[in-house]
Amino acid sequence: MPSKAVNIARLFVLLLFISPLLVGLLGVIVPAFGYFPGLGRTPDGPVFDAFWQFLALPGITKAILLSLTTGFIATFGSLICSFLVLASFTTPPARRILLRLSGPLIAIPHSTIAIGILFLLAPSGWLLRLLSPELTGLVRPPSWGMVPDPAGWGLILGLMAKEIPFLTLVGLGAIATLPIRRLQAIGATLGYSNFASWLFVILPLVYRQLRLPLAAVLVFSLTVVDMALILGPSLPPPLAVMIFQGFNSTELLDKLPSSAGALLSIILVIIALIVWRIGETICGIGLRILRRRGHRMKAAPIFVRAVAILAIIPPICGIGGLAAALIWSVAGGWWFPDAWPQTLTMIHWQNAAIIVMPVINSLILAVGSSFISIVLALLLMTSRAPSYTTTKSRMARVQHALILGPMLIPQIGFLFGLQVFLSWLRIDGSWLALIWIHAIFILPYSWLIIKPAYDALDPRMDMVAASLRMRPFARLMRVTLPMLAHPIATGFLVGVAVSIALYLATLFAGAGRINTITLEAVSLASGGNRGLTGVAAMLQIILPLGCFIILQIGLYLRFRKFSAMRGGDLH
Amino acid sequence: MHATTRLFARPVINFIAIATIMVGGVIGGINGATHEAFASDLTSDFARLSTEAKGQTVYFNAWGGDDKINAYISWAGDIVKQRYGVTLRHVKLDDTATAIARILGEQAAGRTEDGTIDLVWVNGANFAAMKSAGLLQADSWVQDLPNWRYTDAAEFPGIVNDFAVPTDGLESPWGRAQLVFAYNSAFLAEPPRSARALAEYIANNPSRFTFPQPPDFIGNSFLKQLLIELSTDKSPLYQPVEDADFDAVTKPLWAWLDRARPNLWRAGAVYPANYPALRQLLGDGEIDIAIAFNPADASAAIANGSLPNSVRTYIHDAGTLANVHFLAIPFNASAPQGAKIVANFLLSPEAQIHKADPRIWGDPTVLSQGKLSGPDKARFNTLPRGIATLSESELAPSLAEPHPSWVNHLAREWQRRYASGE
Repeated sequence: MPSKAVNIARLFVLLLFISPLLVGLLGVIVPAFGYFPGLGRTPDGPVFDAFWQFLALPGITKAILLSLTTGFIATFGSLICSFLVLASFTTPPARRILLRLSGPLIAIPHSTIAIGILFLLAPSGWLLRLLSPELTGLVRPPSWGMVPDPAGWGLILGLMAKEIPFLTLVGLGAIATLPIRRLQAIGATLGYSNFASWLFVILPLVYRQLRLPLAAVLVFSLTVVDMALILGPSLPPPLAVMIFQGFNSTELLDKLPSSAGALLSIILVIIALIVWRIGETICGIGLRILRRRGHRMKAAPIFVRAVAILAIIPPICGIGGLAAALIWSVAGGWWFPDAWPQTLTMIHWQNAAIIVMPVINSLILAVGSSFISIVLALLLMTSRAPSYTTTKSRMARVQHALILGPMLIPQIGFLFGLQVFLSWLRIDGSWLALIWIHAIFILPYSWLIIKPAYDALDPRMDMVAASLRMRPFARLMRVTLPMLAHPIATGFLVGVAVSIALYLATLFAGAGRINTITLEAVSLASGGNRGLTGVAAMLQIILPLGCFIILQIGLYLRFRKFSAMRGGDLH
Repeated sequence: MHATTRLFARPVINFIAIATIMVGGVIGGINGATHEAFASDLTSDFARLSTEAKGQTVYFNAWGGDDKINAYISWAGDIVKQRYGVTLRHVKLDDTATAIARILGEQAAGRTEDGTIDLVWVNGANFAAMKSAGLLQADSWVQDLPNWRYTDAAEFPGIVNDFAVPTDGLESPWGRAQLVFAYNSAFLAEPPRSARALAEYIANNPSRFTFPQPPDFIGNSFLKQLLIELSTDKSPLYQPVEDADFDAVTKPLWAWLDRARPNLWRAGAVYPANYPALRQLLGDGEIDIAIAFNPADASAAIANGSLPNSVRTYIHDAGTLANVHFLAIPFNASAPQGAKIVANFLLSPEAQIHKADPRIWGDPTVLSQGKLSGPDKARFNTLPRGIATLSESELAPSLAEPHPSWVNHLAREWQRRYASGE
């Protein structure tokens, strides 16, 4: 059993690791209340001017409402859609297909999906080019358009295209732990349709495991910046973009109201989480009332299948957009309403020489930060025996909260403070800073993926090894870690995907000096040549998928002789 | 008498002539000698600079929204690496204000050396802001660049006066710019050549015109262009904005915009982010007229396939805004020597000729034809003009930039009026 000293040491390491986040929060809270010595602002007590100034910005009410509506609709919509998808893919082979489809989709950065949707659904996008002029009669792009639109529907669609596969994947994981067939069989003997059993029994059980991912989705959707820059409205933009622009203003004093705004965004997120919780309770009560009525829902399955087709529209738009980006990356002249480019060219790929550096930077960052966060996650885990019971000590809970924090705090809320802190340490724009910050954001994912597998390890393996006189370190290296190879590989891949997708954190901590393919893609998307933007979007996909393929092959070669470890699927 | 006068006159004239030639020659010789001495001074200074700069990495913060420009900077980076051992890193900005904000932040944090920015692409209000906040190098450095001798401030006064603010040798000229309008001649036979005609055009052709959203650089410039054209008394625009009755002076501008807004692209509820986005809309046929701050931009875009070849350019009869853009070095640059090497290279005839080529970038040069060597002059003259580029004489009517204090006020007022989306 670990001693108290080990516990404290573990907590200390963790605190040190996420200290930039804590200092960053402080670095936003202090200027929000008027204290900024660099600008000669040293009031005796807290001043609230910055808050009033922020709330007086033109369009602020609309910006807040926009953030709330896009965030809630995208999250709730993604939840409903992923449930519909899960409810209609009921057989194990169908679920395996679903798993194979959603896996690669979650590895694609948000900004890539946003670029694709822009290319597909803009008034001059591929969809209208395909349909015009035959079906629409248009010879010039229409004056109405889906993206970007003032109400933020384009942004909602983009978010849903990413979050539906994510929630579906987590849902599949949850379903795998439930005795689905038995539950449905019991339902069937009582005359309930499969859908009714699903809705009344399975769904609440799955939902319980979706809570944390959903909270992360809600926080992300409420405060997303990169996707909103590409797909969102600009007059006014969503709250997070407005704060972001304030931090970039030439007026140095604008940093005070922006800090207040960053703090307000955190408060908004907390309120949103509480509202979500209340909504959850109300839905639970509603479901209970419905359940008591005893509807058997015999007609439901066909209806559900029909609606489930609607549920996959957002991810299909995402994939269609990627196809559009691919075509644009090889298009010569391509004028509306031609469905296809007049000529194909490799010129954009040749011009991509100027974005080779960012690709290499992305790769170094992704691999370095994933590696560090996995080592740390393993260190935190293995310094304590697997927890076979579900009851947790207070220490374990604190640790859990610290690890998951970065996933639940909006990035715009602390990155400015973080930038000041890094600049003060003179490490802004250094590899050290950037890898560190990326690793902080990856740690929650590494933890959530590897920890359950570690807890599920058969303790007898370790005992057998111990009885064969293996030392603890040798047991870790030769027994425990090899058995965790698959979850570690999955964690690594997810880490790579998270790192490549990080926009705001890279921008703030990189000081513009370390440019990544995602920074490049977002800036190209705001006006650069579509061909080069298409190439950048393709490179954003190739990086994580390349890692995926290399690891799959590696795992296969290493473990092909071990039948139990040759599952083939990466968790 | 007549003959004597003649006899007398001739030697006198000869004498005067010879004397003049001699004196002139001597003065010229002295002149030449000082010039030589000065030049060799420059050369030795530059040699010292090159030694110091070798191995430095220059973080060049420059707007990165146009891949033609990015490719040009990357070309320049390869050359300075090869010749001077200076590594040029292009930090691509969405908005130059970001870089100014960063330098301000470093100044506020007391970081007086080892800053994160070595060279920045600026002009106008951003330069004025940097100058007044003391964010630039302490000493004038531009005249010491060897390639400064190819410039002539008498020909282009804008290279030493940035939006009427004296540059004081703190920023090196890089290129000249003039606002031009591009239109698709396939959809539009005769473009509107004044602010008033444009208003009529917008009213009659809903959703076929827009401009980049202020405070974007081109969006701001469009506001200034309108304001100058619509003002009967333009003198207040060339004084600090604080001295003017802002509401009264800008009233015609807001009236124009209020009238145009319902008929703008997307009913004025959405605006493109910058001029490449605007150009894309023209290429897609969503709009009929776009704005650029580079006379050759449309030709270059036709050449690389971003605009159809039916696009042509025009300017307003009253003239359009013209200015010069520059390179400045922040006070706390980590590699000021390397930054000067880069600025000097970018000012060289070689780099300026490459930049002026519409197949590369098409940015007009800041060098003076009169100061160039014969072969360089010939190289400039043989550059293709580009299918959609106006001639020098067609571009002649130009408007001076208003006092730099106007632009932020205009952008803020625009945001106050239109950014709430109501």
